[in-house]
Amino acid sequence: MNAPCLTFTSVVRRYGPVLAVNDISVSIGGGITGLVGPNAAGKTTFITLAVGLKRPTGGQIRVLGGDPWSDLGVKGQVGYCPDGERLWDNLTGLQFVVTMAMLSGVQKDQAHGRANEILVQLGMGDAMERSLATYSRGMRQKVKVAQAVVHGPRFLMLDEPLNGIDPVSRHEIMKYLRQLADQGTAIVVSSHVLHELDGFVDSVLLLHRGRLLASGTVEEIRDLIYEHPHTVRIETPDVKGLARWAVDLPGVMAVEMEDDALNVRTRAPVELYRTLPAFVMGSGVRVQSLYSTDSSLEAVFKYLTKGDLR
Amino acid sequence: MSFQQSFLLVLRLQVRLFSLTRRLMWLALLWVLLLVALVLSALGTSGSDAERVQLFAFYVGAAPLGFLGAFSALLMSNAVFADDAENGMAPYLLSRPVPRSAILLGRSLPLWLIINVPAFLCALVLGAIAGFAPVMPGLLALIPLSLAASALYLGLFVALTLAVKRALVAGFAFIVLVELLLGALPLRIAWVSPRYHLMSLWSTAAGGQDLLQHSAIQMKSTSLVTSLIFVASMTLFVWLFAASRLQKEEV
Repeated sequence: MNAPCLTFTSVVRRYGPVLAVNDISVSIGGGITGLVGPNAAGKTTFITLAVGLKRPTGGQIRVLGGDPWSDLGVKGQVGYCPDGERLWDNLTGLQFVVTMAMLSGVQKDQAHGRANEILVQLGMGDAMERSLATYSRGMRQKVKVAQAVVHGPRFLMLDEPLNGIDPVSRHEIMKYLRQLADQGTAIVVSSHVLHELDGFVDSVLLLHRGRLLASGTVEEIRDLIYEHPHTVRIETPDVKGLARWAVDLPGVMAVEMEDDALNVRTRAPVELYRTLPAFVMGSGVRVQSLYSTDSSLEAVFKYLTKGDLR
Repeated sequence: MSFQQSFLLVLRLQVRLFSLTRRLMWLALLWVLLLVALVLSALGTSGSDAERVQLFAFYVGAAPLGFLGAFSALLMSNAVFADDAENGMAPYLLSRPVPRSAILLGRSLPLWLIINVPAFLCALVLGAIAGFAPVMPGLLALIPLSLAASALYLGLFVALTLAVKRALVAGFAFIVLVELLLGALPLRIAWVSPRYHLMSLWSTAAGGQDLLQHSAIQMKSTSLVTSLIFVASMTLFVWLFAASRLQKEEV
């Protein structure tokens, strides 16, 4: 077995009276690991601790054998994609990625070539010279991923990189990250939607209210919650066309139409996530974003913990 | 990557970002307006040395230049550090193998230059028009004073930006209440102003208090040593505070 890239030993992080990370001990090795939990589960705090942006209140963190807070050598081998969409909008996508590469120690003459290559691989070849201000949400996520990987890190932490983006961008990012993982990069991806990581991650850590609730493969985790219904919200200008498709899917319990969005309540969200890209490509229906609503995931966690979430 | 390389990269990024901000254009406009006012006033004076010195002391030593300098420090430190906090851009820098001190320094230095370059330009223009001879001691003394003052105010406003949410409003209130209205404050209260101590140092460096007779602040009892200690301790405090906040939060 590979040596772990990330080790948390009894890690605690407090914000005043709030326990954002509560006594977590875990080791993460190679492959892609999903960090799943609803809002305020502690995912972002977990990641910011791991990349050395925050210090733990208690316990010990080791990344690639060093302390991510103080060891700049460790930081040089870690890639980080923060949550949120804001970027330095005055720069172009290429300028942004080149700058981040150089700040990670890549020489100027190499930085441009590497940034260019990665942006092309992520399907950003035509847009890389445009200002970041003109980018869509999916393009911003791709640029954020590009800046995280441009220096060739051994360990990659991505905070909600698939959140709210269109299926095509989602597919491109997942495909690229899978390639990196196959080449030996250890990757942690956070999400508040377990099903969007299905078929993509090798293992899952389930966080809730700062605690590590469960860990295992997606199948194992999914089996725990399979019977619980989910609501998936799909934003699209063609609500009716998508609704006609959705009602025939196995497991769908209800379809609620709004002006520019469709809420699908289903017992088989995996099926929906699996078949939607093919339908979108085949029918030409435009999908702007899709996500599992927080309320449904919160309900799943309540179900998992039998309501005992103190 | 060495500290120097990291620092230069952050500096370059900051300069590039600055060169594209709208806030900088508004600030440049304010400086140009001040320069025009300054030139017109200087051209309108009758020509006696006393009047020139008074004019110099009013513009450079007292309210307009100092106020605009402090306002520039507030506006630009807020632009860099508050926007970072709001936009969540700081993690991109803090997650790189770059020392935090290099980030703080690399982001602050362009701010410092933005405040100093137009201030020196204004002082030089006024000196050129009024004649350097009568204002030279003050002009020379202004150099270290201006560098120290802008660094101090910059640190003060960076610390303020990192400490409170409505830092722009709070900083503006500070400038107006403590700095602009300082002349009206009793001297027992005036000692709380960093500018008071900096003026005291300037007065000493310029060879007496003559240049400041018509400025907003009348130097009275503060000793050179007290002012030096005040300015040094305040500089140290704001630097340490800003550095610790940068380490503590994602700012």
